[in-house]
Amino acid sequence: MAEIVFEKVGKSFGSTKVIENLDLTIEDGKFTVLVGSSGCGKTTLLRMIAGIGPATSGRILMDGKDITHQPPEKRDIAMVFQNYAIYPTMSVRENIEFGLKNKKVPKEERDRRIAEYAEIVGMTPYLDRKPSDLSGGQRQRIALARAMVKKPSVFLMDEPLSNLDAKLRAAMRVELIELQRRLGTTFVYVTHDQIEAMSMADTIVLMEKGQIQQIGSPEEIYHEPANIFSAQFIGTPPMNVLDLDGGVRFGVRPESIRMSAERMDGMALYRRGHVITREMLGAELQYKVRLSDGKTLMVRSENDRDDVEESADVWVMAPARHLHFFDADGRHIGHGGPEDLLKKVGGINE
Amino acid sequence: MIKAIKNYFVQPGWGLQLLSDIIKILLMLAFIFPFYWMLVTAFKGYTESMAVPPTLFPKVWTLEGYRSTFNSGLNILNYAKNTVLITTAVIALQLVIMVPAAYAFAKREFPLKGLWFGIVLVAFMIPLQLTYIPVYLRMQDLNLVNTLWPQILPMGADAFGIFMLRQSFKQIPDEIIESAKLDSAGEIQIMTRIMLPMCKSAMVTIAMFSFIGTWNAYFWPLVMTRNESVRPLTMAVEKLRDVEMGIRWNSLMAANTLLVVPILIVFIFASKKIIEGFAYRGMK
Amino acid sequence: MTAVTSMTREQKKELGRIKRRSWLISYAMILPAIVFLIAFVIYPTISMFIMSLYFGNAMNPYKRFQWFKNYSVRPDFWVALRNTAEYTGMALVLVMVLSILFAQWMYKSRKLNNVAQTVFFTPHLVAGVSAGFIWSWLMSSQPYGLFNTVFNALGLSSVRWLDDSSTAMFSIVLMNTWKSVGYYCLIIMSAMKSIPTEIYESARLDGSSSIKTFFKITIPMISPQLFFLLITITTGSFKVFDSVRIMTGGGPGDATRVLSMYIYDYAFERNNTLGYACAAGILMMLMMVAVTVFDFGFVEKKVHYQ
Repeated sequence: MAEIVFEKVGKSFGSTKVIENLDLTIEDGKFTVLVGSSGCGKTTLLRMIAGIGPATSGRILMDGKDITHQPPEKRDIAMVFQNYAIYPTMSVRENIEFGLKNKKVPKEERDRRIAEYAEIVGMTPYLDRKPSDLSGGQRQRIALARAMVKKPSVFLMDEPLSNLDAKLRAAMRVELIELQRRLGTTFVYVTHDQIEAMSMADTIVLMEKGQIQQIGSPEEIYHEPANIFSAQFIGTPPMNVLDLDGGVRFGVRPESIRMSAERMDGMALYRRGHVITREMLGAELQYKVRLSDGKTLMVRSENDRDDVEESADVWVMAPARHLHFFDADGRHIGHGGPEDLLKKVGGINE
Repeated sequence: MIKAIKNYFVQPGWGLQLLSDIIKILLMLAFIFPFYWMLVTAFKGYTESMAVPPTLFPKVWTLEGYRSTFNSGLNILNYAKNTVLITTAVIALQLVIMVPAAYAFAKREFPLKGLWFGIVLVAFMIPLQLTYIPVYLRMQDLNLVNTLWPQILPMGADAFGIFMLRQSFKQIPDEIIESAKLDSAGEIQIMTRIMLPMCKSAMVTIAMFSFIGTWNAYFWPLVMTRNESVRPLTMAVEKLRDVEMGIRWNSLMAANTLLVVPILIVFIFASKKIIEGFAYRGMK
Repeated sequence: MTAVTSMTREQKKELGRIKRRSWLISYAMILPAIVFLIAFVIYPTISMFIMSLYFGNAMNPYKRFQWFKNYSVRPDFWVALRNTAEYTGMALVLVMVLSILFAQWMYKSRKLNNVAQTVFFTPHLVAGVSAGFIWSWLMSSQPYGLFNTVFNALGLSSVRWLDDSSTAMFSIVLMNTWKSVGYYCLIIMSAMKSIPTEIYESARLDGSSSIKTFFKITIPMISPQLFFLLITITTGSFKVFDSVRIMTGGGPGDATRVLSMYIYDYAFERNNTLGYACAAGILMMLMMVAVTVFDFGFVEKKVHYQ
């Protein structure tokens, strides 16, 4: 069991408070992703779990044990750094072996584990090479093997894929998911890329400015965003948010908007719009549309569902269930209702 | 300021850090101490400088040491003048010779470029110890031994300086030169109005290296001169010691301050640059 | 598509002229430097070698061809060589160890460390003779010598520093260490600064103690700079002259007569030994080259380049 609990945790650098009074429980055995923009505090939290950037207030518990002041080397964790932190003067084998040697693991056990995990990451033929001869992707696998070989209760990963090219990144995403399923260990993964978060996480912890905006599964965050920030952070392009009166705002995702020359029945949102740009992205069409009141919307249409031309004048529509309402503080009121707000959106008579 | 002090003691493990910092400061003081001792001795009177036990701070401040130096029968002013002349001449000569050469090696193509640069490389590795005898003999033949020239001319080309300037010129994008050519700039114009201003930093560093090297030179003047009238201050200080019948340390230290203080002044003004320059030397 | 027009004879000629003109200007630019280097560095070295084959003096270096006698060195050559080796050995150990320790102590970027860096570097800038004088003054065996005064105050007995043949060499090494530590420390420090902190963090997570991290990670990663130090300190030690001459003049007796002084003595202070001095100089150079080659051949293998 390796459940991690943050209790009223705070972190200050000098007089700057980065994190204040934060509570969080990271479930054992799950793939949890801490996601947010730069400086939101996600890496700070990760380093607190590792012990290399200790909390300045509050407690951190692992498995119920208070590890707040425990030195990093005594914690049962392993970490993969963004730049891999491979020891450049040691061979691949020595890199992987280093932690085990320090923990006085006997030689046969060491060799066995190295062989096993080198095989899992596919680096067996490279064991006696120097890291400087290897590519970024290969070095990343070494970092992974080095972490796994310690058989920790928790894996920490700090944006491990951000230095890889797009294709490799996509492939590694899948591999990491498989790895976690296979090992069953708690994974805590930090990224700024919401696509990575959505694709890999069992649980997403969305952070901004040192505070947790929302915790939930990818489905939950997508369908039930807790606030405007969550709603707009997840999803590309971000959710379109428009004003209603009384401080209330409503939002609709680009992929939920319909467009056509004729009015369609059964919608809750109706506006007239002028298509400004049309981007052909392969399986999707992406549009920028200007409404009659001057506001612009992004619209995404998959598989040629609504194919309109540039400079066309169209009806811009969306069904009730895809409209999300937010109060004056940005908090989510609901989607698909309440009725009175739905009516206000209207536009039936435009 | 007070916040910074408070922050210091808030860090975990500040006790050991404080101890380490105190030792560091003590060590720093110890390192500077010889200079302090030199200065302090320079301003002591003869008797006080010989006092047992020595006084850390002069009981009586006096210029006796300096007067002694200047009245020692050696023409200190002439030695100082020599040092200044030689240093200035070497810096000027080096800049005139090395800048065009470095530019050519950096940015221009011409036949046998590799060969000529190879010569620079080879010259870089040969120490003064291997060249002074023949150079002296040549100077003797040319009747230059009683002039300042033997201390100036051989220093005209410094291989390391050429390397450094070349590096600095290389960093200027070719496009700037091409665009200047399109603006009908002549070679000299390109060099003076574009390249030089962009390499000011490197040239200043070279000038400083030259200054320090030439100002402090002892071995080369020793082997290149026979006549006191062309010798620099470094040799004067040595002679002072030999001339004095009992060693007057206060006078000797006073003379030394003339050698050391100008360097320290330059260092105070340009410490960062000098340190960077020396660090670069290590990267070769 | 129009075909590429080939140049006319005149155009080719013109291009050639422009090129040649450019070459001429380039040559003009490098000429002074090359001339100076050949005249004052390259040619004298060759000259020195030739003179080493002859018996002669400053007036006439080429009196008699005598290469064998010149190169069969006199017994005092070995004394000078031993002294130089002694100096080099002591300097190498002292300077390298201290530079590494200081660097490890001071490489983290803090106001105090930045000031310390500058302070420790300062002695490097002053003349060898000045440093020699100041330390001779400090190390004076007379009652007013400060070092001994402090020693006595601490209950230690006086040391005869430069006046005792068993301590003279060490005293000179000590002074030169003071003078050069700052510089070498600087070089090591910039190497240490380039090691990413993540490597240290990872090592910590791998359970590595500070000492282990230092020897297994830090040292290998700065090994190129350590190698540079090895070469530079060694070659520099062969050439040491100013400080020795000022502080001891080679004495007491022959205790600190190093090679460079030996050569100087034979070159100018004695009669008809110019050729011999040149031979000794050439031998010194050969030894420096040999040591460097040895370093590159055997020691360089251990350097971890990245």
